[in-house]
Amino acid sequence: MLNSIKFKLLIWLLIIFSFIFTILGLFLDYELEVVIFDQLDRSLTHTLQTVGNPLIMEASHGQLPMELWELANITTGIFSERLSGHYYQITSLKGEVLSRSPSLGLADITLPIAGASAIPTFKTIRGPNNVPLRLISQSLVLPDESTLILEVGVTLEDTYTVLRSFRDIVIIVFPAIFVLSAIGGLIITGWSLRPLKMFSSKIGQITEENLNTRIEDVRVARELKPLAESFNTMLIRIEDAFQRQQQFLSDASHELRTPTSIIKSYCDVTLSRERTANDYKEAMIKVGESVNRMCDIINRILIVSRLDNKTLKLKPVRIDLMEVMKDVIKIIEPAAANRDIKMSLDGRSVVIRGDTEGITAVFTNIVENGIKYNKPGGNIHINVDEENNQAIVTVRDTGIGIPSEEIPKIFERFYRVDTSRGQTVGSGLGLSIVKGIIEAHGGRIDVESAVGKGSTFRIFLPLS
Amino acid sequence: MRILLVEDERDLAAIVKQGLEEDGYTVEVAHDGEEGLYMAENYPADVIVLDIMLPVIDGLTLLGKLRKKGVATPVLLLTARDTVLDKIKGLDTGADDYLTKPFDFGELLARVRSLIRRKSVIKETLIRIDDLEINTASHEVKRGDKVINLSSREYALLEYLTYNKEKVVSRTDITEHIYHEETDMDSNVVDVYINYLRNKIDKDFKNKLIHTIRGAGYMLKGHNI
Repeated sequence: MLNSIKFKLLIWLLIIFSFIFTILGLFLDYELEVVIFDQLDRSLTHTLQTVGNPLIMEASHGQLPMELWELANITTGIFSERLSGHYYQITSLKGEVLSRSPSLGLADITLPIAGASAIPTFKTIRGPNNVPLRLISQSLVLPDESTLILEVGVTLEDTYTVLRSFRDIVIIVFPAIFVLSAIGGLIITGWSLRPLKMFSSKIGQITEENLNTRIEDVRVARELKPLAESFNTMLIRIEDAFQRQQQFLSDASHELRTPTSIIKSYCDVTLSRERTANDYKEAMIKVGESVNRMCDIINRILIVSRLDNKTLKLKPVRIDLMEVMKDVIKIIEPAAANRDIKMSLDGRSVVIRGDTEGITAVFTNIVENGIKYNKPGGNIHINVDEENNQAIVTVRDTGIGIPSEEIPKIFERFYRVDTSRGQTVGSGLGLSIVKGIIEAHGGRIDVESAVGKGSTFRIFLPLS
Repeated sequence: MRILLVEDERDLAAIVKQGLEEDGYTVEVAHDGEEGLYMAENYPADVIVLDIMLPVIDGLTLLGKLRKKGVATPVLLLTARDTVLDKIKGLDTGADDYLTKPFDFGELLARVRSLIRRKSVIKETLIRIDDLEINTASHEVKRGDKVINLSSREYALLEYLTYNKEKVVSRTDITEHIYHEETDMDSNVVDVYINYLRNKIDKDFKNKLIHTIRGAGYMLKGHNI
């Protein structure tokens, strides 16, 4: 659950949403308060002027006491109702109340006396009956140089009601919107993760039977295209490897079919009637030969598969390639003599680290090929040398050569040169094993060849 | 009956040849495609047993060339590949039958017999000419209630005459189908074997089945047609 992209997306969405909504709510609340108080203060300023201007005017005519009396006694409207929440009060500098609105007068309550200030001053106080009150105060200088302090107040009850209901709305609406966006978020994340779902179901359908399936470009979201591409590339590689594996299996079983048919035919034909002991013996010899051939093929297949999954056990020791080549020549000598092929060896002693058995098998195989594909009376020249920290063994024969288009194929498994007249017996695994063993030693092999003139194999191995 | 076997694996070719010969066939072996093509064109065989994987010319190419030249000899393909596509390709090239290595030798013999029957008007394995009974599967020959033991050469000659019953077969026909190509054509070996066969089949019976057609050859023919 905690690990699901959908869940994480949703959590983040809700955190961000809550944060934004909280900030927005606080901001709106503050702004609303500012706007409402601004409005209130302007209306208070207006009232202050309405009360103050006649006072100054009447004072210049010496009618101030009359005006003060009128303000306290014959005012109508909201200022005349007892504790209506709308008040004014005029005091002297000494703090003596000169006049007050009937709303105050009727209850005999005075507002707190404000200090003198030529510019209007606002403050919020606790007014009569503990009702919050917004108060404006300003001192008025009369023509006779005396100063009055004028205060106008208005209740904040309505304002606070408006602000409170706004906050109530926000508090009710917030959870509702929270739930709605959680649902919306779930839908959106689910929807945007759908291509991934399709993707994984596609991948889930792939088995060895339909490795040729590809994730089609057109239906994949743009963001998933790189994923689809690398997935397709991976599929191509797997399919390729799988096909090579299958080809190998089919080639291997094909190779085993020939000796198997020989064995089967010898058994079937020999057992079809009574025979002499000598006939049975001959049949057994033939069966034995074919069994040996099968064993050889199976061993080679085993080596190839071990080279493939890198489980071939190599026991690296110090080997002198010159000595190896001398041994190889000893092994091959009889076969070479049989075909009247001369072998020569020169160069110097070069020491590498390698598996004695593997390295000997490699060179035996290469020299054997040099004999097998040689012309009678031809020769094979072997040179052992070192250069640039590498041992180089060169095996040059005067054989039939390899056509240039065949050269890349000779290291493939089960490859067999076809130009010879059916004289070559073998599993065709030879050079692929040679290459595998050389590469397992960190070396490489290359070939140059001219049809009718011969081939030169060069084997490079790292020095010890 | 004469069989051309084209197979590059010498051991396999040797044992298949031996098995077929023991069953009364005359077998010629070619070890590569080129030799096989030459022999198929120049020495008529009754059946060709052809391996697909051959050096020089592969089996299918060889088969294609033969069919193009109008050689209609029945061909039994031998191959180590056994996918359906391989079989389709082989049959479409002009093969008459198909056998996958490793094969059962009895099956090879049965398929060869089936190919021979296909060419002949006779479709049964048990052939009767009057009271002469020839079982081509078991090579058992009976006349009336009497079991007749024939050598494989004699059997091959009788079988050839049987498949061509009521037709005149020349000495050359017989030599070509029963004996190896090296056999001296001028020798009277055919007459000698016809004589052996007559001694065993006709001598003790009133109705003679093997007839000499003067200047032409021999014919196997019953009286109750």
